[in-house]
Amino acid sequence: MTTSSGSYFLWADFFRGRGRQKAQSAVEALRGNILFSTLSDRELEYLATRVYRRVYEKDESVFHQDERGFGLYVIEQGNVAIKTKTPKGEVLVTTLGAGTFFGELALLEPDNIRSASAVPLERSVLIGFFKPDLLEILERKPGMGVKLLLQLSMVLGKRLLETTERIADVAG
Amino acid sequence: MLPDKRLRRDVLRLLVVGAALAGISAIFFVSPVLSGPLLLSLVASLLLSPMVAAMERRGLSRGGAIGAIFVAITLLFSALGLWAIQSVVTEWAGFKENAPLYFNGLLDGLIGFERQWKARYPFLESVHFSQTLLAWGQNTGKWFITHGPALMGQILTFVLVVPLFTFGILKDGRTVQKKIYELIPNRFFESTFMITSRILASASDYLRAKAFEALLVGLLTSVGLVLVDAPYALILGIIAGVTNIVPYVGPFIGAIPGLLVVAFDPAQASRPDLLWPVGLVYVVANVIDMGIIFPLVVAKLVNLHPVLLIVAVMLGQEYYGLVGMLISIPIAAGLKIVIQEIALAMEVGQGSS
Repeated sequence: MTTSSGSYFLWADFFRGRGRQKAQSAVEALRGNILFSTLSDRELEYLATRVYRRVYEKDESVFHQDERGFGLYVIEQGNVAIKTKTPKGEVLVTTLGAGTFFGELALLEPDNIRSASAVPLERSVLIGFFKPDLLEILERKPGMGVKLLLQLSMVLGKRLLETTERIADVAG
Repeated sequence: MLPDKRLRRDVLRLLVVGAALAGISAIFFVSPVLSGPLLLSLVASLLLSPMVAAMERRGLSRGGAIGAIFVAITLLFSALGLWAIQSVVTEWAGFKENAPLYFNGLLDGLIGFERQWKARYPFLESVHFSQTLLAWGQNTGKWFITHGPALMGQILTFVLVVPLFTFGILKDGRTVQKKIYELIPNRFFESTFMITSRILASASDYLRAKAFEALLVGLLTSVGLVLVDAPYALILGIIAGVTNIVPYVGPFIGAIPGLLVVAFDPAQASRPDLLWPVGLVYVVANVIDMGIIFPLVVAKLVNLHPVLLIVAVMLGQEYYGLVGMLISIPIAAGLKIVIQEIALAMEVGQGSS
């Protein structure tokens, strides 16, 4: 039995090939995300060795509100519902699709408490990026770390502005 | 909501992964051929890791940084290090040559001491501690003669295998770690990742701090011994630095060779007053260590109650001897992290309910 490349399937480096494929798809998913859009190809490849690609089934919780959290998740495939608990019950805050991310506050907040729950609406592939790896990047590749923090600050600033405008709308 | 079946499956998967990892670790750590070099390689890789990070910061790739460090170490040992090794070898040769003299001197002293005490206290007649010591010395000597070739073989294995293992751990350690994390079920992944990251960081900080402490104590002892004009200052300093790694008893073990040399070296017979300055050098080095180096460098990182530290070291000694004493503190610090994380998780859980 031969593969398309001509080598025998049994002797092909099956796992390495799969690993490389996964890494490449992680690089592509990261490249398309605003947080990592300023990174060079080399930096993206380095980042791909520092992130964790995980598959979640439908309704399998990524994290719960008030749990301790340690990082953010980029959605490579699928849709994730972000929900929050209110006195009236659980409320859907938003639904996020491929290319977006959530949980970024855990990267920066010292107490690491999740402010909402995240539940996939279908089978989803998520890329986790956690605080120890951000700290390691800042230590080993400070230039790359600064780019990441700058983008993260920009996103958080934008979200703060949007929230302020919403509150002003509600109050007004 | 997902059924409990998934929870049961995840718990079972976590247990299987844990058992498999424990089994693989056991193969490595129970077999003495592998455990010694592997432990040493782990320590070496943790010690070299900041250097790799510093070179990566300067733009080198990880592989390039590790390669450069290994080349530098090889050059250091073969060129610049030759001088230091040569002087240690010279001192060691003299020390080895004179060791029987010290032993005989010690024995003569003990026999005289035994005679005096037996004359004063006749009930000690049945105690023969000089003979017992002599028998122990002879047995130890025989052991070294019979086990010498095997010991040399082991040392050679260490010299060849440790650099290979260290290179492998530095180069591919993260990949292996990542593969292991991939096996952890989603619900336990984030907390497992955070706890193991904290434990690894704490263990590497502790090891680096201990290595730095050993270096300073060795340096202080050598400089002190040079200042009081004691013999074998370099080798005695190295011994004091290395033994200092063992908590609590290390400094005492480290002082014994220096004090024995001064007390029983016939070459020092004309300087009987040297014993006190040499003793003082060890005391001063250890006071500086206990008062300044340990609190500032090591204790800050471990952050465990002194009573807990002593209990951990005693338990380590009870089960694994000197190695147990050495690894007891990082293990206790790791357990503290696990307990802290569980307590925090429970606190958060209670707060939200």
